[in-house]
Amino acid sequence: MRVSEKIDPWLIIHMLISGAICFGIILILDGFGAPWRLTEWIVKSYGSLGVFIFEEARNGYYLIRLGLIYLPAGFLGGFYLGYKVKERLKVNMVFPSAIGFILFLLYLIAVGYQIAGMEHVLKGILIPLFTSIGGSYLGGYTLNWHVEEKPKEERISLIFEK
Amino acid sequence: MRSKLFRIRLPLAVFLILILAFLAAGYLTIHVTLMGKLTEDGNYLRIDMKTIEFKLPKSWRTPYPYVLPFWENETICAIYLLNAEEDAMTYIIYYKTQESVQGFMGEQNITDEFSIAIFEIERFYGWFQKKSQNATLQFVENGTIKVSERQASYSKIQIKNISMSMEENETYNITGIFISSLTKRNLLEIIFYTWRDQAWNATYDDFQILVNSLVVKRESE
Repeated sequence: MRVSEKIDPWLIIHMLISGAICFGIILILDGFGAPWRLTEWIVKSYGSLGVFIFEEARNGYYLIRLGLIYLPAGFLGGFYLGYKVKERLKVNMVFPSAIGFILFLLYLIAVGYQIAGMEHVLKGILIPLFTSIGGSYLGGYTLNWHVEEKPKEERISLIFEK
Repeated sequence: MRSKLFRIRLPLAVFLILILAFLAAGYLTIHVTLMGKLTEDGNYLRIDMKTIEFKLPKSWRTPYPYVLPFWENETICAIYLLNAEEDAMTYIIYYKTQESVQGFMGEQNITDEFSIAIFEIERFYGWFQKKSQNATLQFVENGTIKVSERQASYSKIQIKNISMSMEENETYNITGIFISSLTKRNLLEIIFYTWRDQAWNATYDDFQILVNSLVVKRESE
């Protein structure tokens, strides 16, 4: 994009809406506790909630959270933006997750969550952010994926019709 | 590049596969961890920390899924656990160094092992008394036991008539045991209590297995 080109204000509005969708989905899925309900159900079937004492098991739960919260949140944010915007998807699809995640971080800070140390930064911000961005791309490209249509078969009749 | 996978658009298919992959990886991680930490009989988890190891009934849990139930630094190791029915709580606190023990005892003006258990009971009871003035403390049994081949003093107590809330007349009782084991170098405290009358009998055996299996690995210098 050239500097002289004007930025479409609707593009910014759609980006903000997609970010808000991403943020909202993170809040809903996290608040509803879907990953924990599923994980609790799994470990209860083993009769061992105590397994979460171990760091490795908590990492397993973390993976489930990535798959059930951040990936879908990014996907739906990207899906919206992909529906509204058809150009420069490679660049634009970063924004739903980035905006959504900034909102989520502001929310976390507002409720008193402390981000301290490299592990918090990595596991609390960077990995979920990249997962969410991956989801955004998949959401955006789902609507804008070029499907090769098969050419329709034409029947040629050799019977001469009157 | 293929445009469709399983008759759905490729990005959507990748998205669905990724969700399944995250779920499968998470599940497998938990499964492998559990299988690796179970004891031979399959009923307990082996908890192996720097200074303490013990067998934990596998259904027992951490109070919060996200919070590490262990806290350990150079001077203190603390563990807190909840049973599966969420009506019994266990605390294990280990003061590793002579300085930390002396600091704790000096601060509270405590001189001997049994007084430590009494101090913790009074602190515990005082907390309930603030909320419920009708609560009464009753000592059920005092004595000595062995924990990790160390001599320990214990006191079993009951706190009766604790109000559920300021408005309600409903009350509940707490039954607990406070164990303290003091050596010249360190101090081990174990606290176990239940807040449902029937829970004591149901969980005390599990607690005893935990205590009997507890080993203080590294006695501080």
